[in-house]
Order: sequence, then C-alpha cells, then structure tokens
Amino acid sequence: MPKTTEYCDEKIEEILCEDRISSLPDDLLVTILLSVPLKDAAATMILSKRWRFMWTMLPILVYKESDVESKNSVWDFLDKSLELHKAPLLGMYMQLGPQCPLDADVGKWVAMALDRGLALLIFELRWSADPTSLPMTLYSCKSLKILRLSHKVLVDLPSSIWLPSLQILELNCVVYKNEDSLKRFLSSCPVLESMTVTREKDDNVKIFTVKAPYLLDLSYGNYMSDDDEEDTGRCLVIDTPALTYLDIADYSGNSWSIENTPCLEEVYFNVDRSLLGFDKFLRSFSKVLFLELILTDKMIVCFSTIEFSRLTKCKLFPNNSNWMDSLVSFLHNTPKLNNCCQKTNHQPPIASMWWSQSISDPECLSSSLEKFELIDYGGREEERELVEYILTTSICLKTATISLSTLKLEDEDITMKELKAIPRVSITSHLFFKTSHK
Amino acid sequence: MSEADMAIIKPEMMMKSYIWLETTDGSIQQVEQEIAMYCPMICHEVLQKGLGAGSSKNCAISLPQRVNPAMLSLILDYCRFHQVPGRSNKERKVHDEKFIRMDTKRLCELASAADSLQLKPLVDLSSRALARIIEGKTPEEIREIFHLPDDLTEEEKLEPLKNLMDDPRIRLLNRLYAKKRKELKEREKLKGKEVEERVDERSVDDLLSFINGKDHKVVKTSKSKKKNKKRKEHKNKVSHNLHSKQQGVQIVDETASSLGGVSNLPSMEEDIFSLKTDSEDGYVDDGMDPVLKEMLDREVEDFARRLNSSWVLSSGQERQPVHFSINGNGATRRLTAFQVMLGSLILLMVFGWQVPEFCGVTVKGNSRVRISGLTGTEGGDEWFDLSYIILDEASDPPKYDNVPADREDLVRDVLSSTLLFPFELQLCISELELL
Repeated sequence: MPKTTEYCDEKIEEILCEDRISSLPDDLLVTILLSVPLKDAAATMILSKRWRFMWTMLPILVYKESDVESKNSVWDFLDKSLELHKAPLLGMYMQLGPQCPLDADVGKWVAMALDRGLALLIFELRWSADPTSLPMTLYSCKSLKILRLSHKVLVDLPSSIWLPSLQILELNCVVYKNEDSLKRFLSSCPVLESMTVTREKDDNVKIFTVKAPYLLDLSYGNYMSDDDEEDTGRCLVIDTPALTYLDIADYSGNSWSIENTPCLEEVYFNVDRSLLGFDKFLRSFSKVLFLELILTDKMIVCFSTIEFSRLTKCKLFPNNSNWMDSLVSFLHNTPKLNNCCQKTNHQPPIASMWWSQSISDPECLSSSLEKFELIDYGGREEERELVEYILTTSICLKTATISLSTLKLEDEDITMKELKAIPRVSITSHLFFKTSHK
Repeated sequence: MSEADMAIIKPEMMMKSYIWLETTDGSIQQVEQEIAMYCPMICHEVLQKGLGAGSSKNCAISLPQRVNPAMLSLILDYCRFHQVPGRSNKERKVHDEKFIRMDTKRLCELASAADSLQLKPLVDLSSRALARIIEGKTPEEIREIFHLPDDLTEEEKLEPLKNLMDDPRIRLLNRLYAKKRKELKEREKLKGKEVEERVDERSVDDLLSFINGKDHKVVKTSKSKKKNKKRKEHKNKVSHNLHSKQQGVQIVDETASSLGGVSNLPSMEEDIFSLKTDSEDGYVDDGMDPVLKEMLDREVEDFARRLNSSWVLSSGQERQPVHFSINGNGATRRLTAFQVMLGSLILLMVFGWQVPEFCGVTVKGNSRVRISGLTGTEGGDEWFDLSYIILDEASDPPKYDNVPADREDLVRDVLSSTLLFPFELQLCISELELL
C-alpha cells in the first residue's frame, strides 16, 4: 500500500513539475512576452490562470498594421486590448495605416498611455482624414523621453508646454499649427539632444528654425519639391551651438542659415539643388572630423579653398564635371585625412592638372591616408591615372578598395589585373575589388 | 594519476584563482574565479562578503534555489565563452544560437537560473528563445508544449479572445460583453488583487534598442551609417529614422536596476553591431516576423474554430455547432472562423445579482432560439425563429423581417436592447431545435 501511494505521489509531483514555465517569476514571464508579437502575447490570456493577466503587465506595447492591403486596421485590436491593459507603460508604439477608421479615437489611448508614465511614444497615423491634434497632456508629459510623430499629426500646442525629459524628438511629415509652434516646442525641451525632421508637403512653416541650445544631433530632410524657381521665402535656420552631428538632405532649393557650430564633428550634406549662401555653410564645416557631401558645380570653387584641418574621413559624391580636380585640391586641403571615399561620375572626368604639375604631393598622402575607396570605377584612362596616383604616393596606405562598375566595364578581370599591376609604394597595403554581382 | 602529473597540474592551478559554489542540493563545485564573476550575483556576493567568500569548500558561495547543478554547468559554459574579451560579435552570436538549442523544459530552467544569478544577457537569450516558441502557436499548442494547466473557466476563456479579434462583426458582440467584463473586473478588484506597480526606469538606449529589434524599418543606431537611398533616389519620400548616438546618449538612469549587473546589453550590442556591418539595406533582418504573422492569423482563426467546437462539446449540453449562415438562407458560403465565433456567441448579459448562464451557441439560420427571462415583462419562454433574423455583414444592429406581427415588438426590443443596453437582460438560450 505505501508503495502505491508513494508512486502516486511521485507521479503527481512529476506532473506538477512538468509545467516549468509557470513557475518562473512574473518579471521573467513579462520579459518573455515582450519578445512576442503583441497579438500573440495578448492571446496568452486564455492559456491558464497564471497567464491570464500576464500580458497586461507588459511595459511596452507595439501596435503595427500587419498588412497594408487588408481592410482591417490594427485599431480594432488596439482599442480593445488597451481596455484590458493595466500596468504602467514605458513605451507605446502605435502605427495606424490608411485603413484606420476615421472615427478612431486615437487621442484617448495616447492620453491614457501618457498618464501611465510613458517614456517612449511612437505615433504614426496615416488615415485618410485630416491631420489630428493629439491630447494636450502630451506637451506636458514629465516622463516622456523619446517622441516620434509621423504623418497625419497636427502639432498644436497648448499655452503651457514643458517636456523636461525629452531627449529624442522626431517629427516626420507633420503639420504645424503655425510658425510659432515649432519654436515654442523646441524651447520647452530643455534637454533635447537629438532631433530629426522630415518635411514633405507644406506644413505651415516658412522659416523653419531649429533653435536648441543643447542639441547634439540634427537630421533634417526636406523633400518638398518646389519646382518653380521663384523664391518661396522658405528657409532653414539652424542655431544650435552644441551641435556635433548634422545630416541634411534638402531637395527643395530653399535657402539656409546656419549659426555658429563650433563643435560640429560629423556632417552629411546631401543638397542637390542650387543654394544660396552655401559658402557660409561649407565654411562652417571646416572643422569637422567626418564629411559626406554631394559636390555640385557651384560648390566647387568654394569647396576647393576650404581648409579642412581636422577631417579624417570623407565621402564625396560629385555632381560636377571636374571631380578629379576637386578631389586633388581637396586632398591638399586635408592634412589629416585618413579615410577617403570617392564616387566617380558618369561624365568623363577632366584629368586634373594638379598631379601633372604638382610640386609636392598632398600632405595626407604622405602621412595619414590609410584607406581609399573609389566607387563606380569605369576604367577610363583618367580614373586609372587617379588610382595609380593614389597607390604610388600614399605611403601609409593600408587598404584600397575599388568598386567596379559593371555597366561601364567590359571585362572586369582584365581591369582587376591592370590595377593590381600598379606598383604600390606602401608594400603592406591590400587592394580589394567589389563587383556588383555576388 | 602519477606524481608527475600532479606536479604538472599544481603550478597551473596556482595561476588561476578559484571560487567554490554550492547549489541548494548540497553539491559543491570549484570554478575559475573569472568565469564565476561573470555572473553579477556571484560577483556581488564576493564583493559584499569580502575576499574570503567562496575561497574554500567551507565557505562556498551558496547559489539561489533555482540554480541546479545541471543549469550551473550550462551557465558556466556560457560564461566561459563570453568572458573572453577577444571574440567578435559574430562569433558570440553564432555561439549563442547553438547554445540555446535545447528542449523547452531545460530552456525554462535555464531562464530561471540565469534570472536568479542576474545574468542578463543569458536571461535575454533564453527569454527570446522561449518567446519564439510561443509566437505563432495556438493556445492549445502552447499548453501542450509547456504543460500548462487548463484551469480557466469557459467564460474567462471566451471573453477576452473575442474582444481582441479584429473583426468588425465582433463589435456587435462586444458591446454586450462590455458590461460583463466590467463586472468581472470589479469582482477581481474586490478580491484585493493588485497589479504590481512596476515603475521601470530604463535608459533611452534600452528602449530604442527594443523598438529597433521589433521594427525592421526603424533602423538606425549608428550615426555613421547612412542610407544610400537618400542620395540616389532623392525624389523618393524617405522618412528619417529614429536614431541614437553610438557614442551613447548617456542618460542611463540611476535606477536602471532592470538592466542588471552586466552593463553591456547584448541585445543592444547586437542591434548596433548588425547595423555597423555595411549591409546595403541596413535592415535588422531576422526574417521571422512577416511569416509568423501570417501564420498567426491563420492559427488564431483555427483556434477560434476549434475553441468553438470543443467548447460546445464540453459544455455538457447537447448542442451541435452549426454554422451561422450570414445570408440567412443557408446558402453555401465559405465561413471564416470569425463568423463562426459570431454565431456562437449570442450574448448574455449579467445581472448584478445573478450568475450568468453562459451559453455560446452557433445557430443555423433556420433554427430557433429560446429567449427567456426578460426583465420587466412576464418573461416566460418564448421561441423565436431565427431564420427571420438576418445579420448584415457590415452593419449592426441586426435586421429582421418576417417576424410574426405579434412578436415583432418583442423581438425588436430584445435585439435592440441587447445591443444598446438600455436595461439589463438575461438571455438564456437553453434549447435549440433544428428545423
């Protein structure tokens, strides 16, 4: 008798022990659920008593449209599930696509989330109605650290705004109530460090002023196509003394103004259209460490004269005809250049006079250039001469990478052999080739 | 072992320092100190209790209960690999992927043990592995895999799932359930159930890395990584991505206790690393999401269908799950699980003072539904022929026609009130007759 009961006990124990996962602490179960897509996580409600409210303790909720084609929006799921969610919320990600119903009360849940101590809010709305303004509590949320608003959002500020914790702000194609909105917004974010803005259509702001005393990163993308040549009076004004990282992609042709930026270190400058006042801009980049640039004809003259005394890495995308010339003069102006990447142009380059006449080689070639990359090598004589020049004069060179353009080259193998045959002054250097197939 | 061997071993052992660890079952192990110290909990113990701790068998560091010897050796293997500084991130990732391949039971134990030792990277790794197991499976499958007890009542099961399904037809039912849900919640509150106040102070980077991990498109942690698309196709509307400085927006909160002892979150590292590599499209591609999402949708539908049938069978009453034909005339029409669910949930309202009799039933167009217990009226049992009730797919409230004139008002009242709740009703569908 004792034996059988023992056996039974053991069996029961074994069965009880089988459910390992439920014995994990709540924290851990929530951690597990965090990595599960929200719909699945919410479905765990019906697994067992232990799991019933586990997902409602998730600190981060991610609602995304699962299928752009379908007529059903994630809004339905969102609306219902948020009624069940109780715990403090750390992060809320709401992405509502074009199929979002027009009567959806998005503000309600945003307000609820903000009330629960939200630190991260990513809100994207693409419904077919007009841009909607968000609850006013958004602009006085003490806990908010990261905010991203996208598309059909109207930035309409209450009279008192204060976002003491906001560090990262991203405004994607939103509409502003008026010019003042943006200024007031930025001035109420005392610790704002990073800002990203994209603009697509007219957003009620003519003079886009970015004025933030502690801003470190700024990314600005203006994709408004002002096709007409007339001056629309739009411009971008940057007044950020602490800025270290600047990324500008501006295809609108608007004018600019940039105030002192003594700390600028990295600059990405993709401006294709003719600009007024870019001289000043380019000069403000003279102390940067990294530069990525589209070089247009108009910029050349100015560009060739700037002394980039601290530049160590650069990437140049020429949109002009004598890129080779500009490259060589550039090399002369960059004594500390370590890493240089240059893309060729479709136009046949005009061979530079510099190296045929040069008295001395650029300083960087003899002392600092370690990596050189040429993109879209087309095998033209001038290009080959350039490669030869670099390889034969860069004493410190470690790697040279040539990306072969399959469009222009007939036989890659021959090209590669040719280039490999060039005598390199730096014996330890490696020559790499990149081709587009493989 | 010969004496010579002993002589060789000893000097080696003298070079490394060892720590003694004791698991709750009494067994004591000797482990290289640098490996053991990779676990924050052990590290703290040593630092707190001074140098003497763990230095000999007698004062071995006792490990938490959730760490059994098998798990300990696994964890130590993990630590042994990762504490070597020279490994590349790719190497670590490859190792982790192999390491985590084990059966579910061990995975749970591992997660538990790692959690008690506060080894956050391993906790993350095992949690994610468990998450992958849960993802895309029906609740039944999950219960089977993890041996979960099926201890929820039927009402508890049915209620939330319906609410979470994104089908406009469910809205029809949801309004009825809204009150019931409130009731249940209130009851829970009365029972004194508290939802823990978890104020989670996490750093900005942690949040971003989490979001980046979940969202393929929000990719950008490395500043120096630029997308080619902006340059070449400048006419495209490209939205900038959220990014965080690689050099660390060092706003690490003071109370970032949830980050654990090991400062480098490998999840973060992974994200940052995978973006460092110059992939053309710059996406963090785990390749699982869209596929699993599709699977999930199918599974949810499957589950709903299965739930409906199994529920009906288990309810102990003889009901046959019959599909509700939207057209009302039984026309052959492919039904989705949602329609089935819809049909199966003729809703019940809860009286404050009455235990709800919960009967979800699927009703065929030609069937009758018995409605009883109407408040405020004589009540009694009335039969209504549901073939007269046609639910229009897109709209609610339901329309009905051909209802006998003397019953029309009543039916209208019943149906409209069930949707709009001007007063509470209890509908009890107790018998079903197929015509």
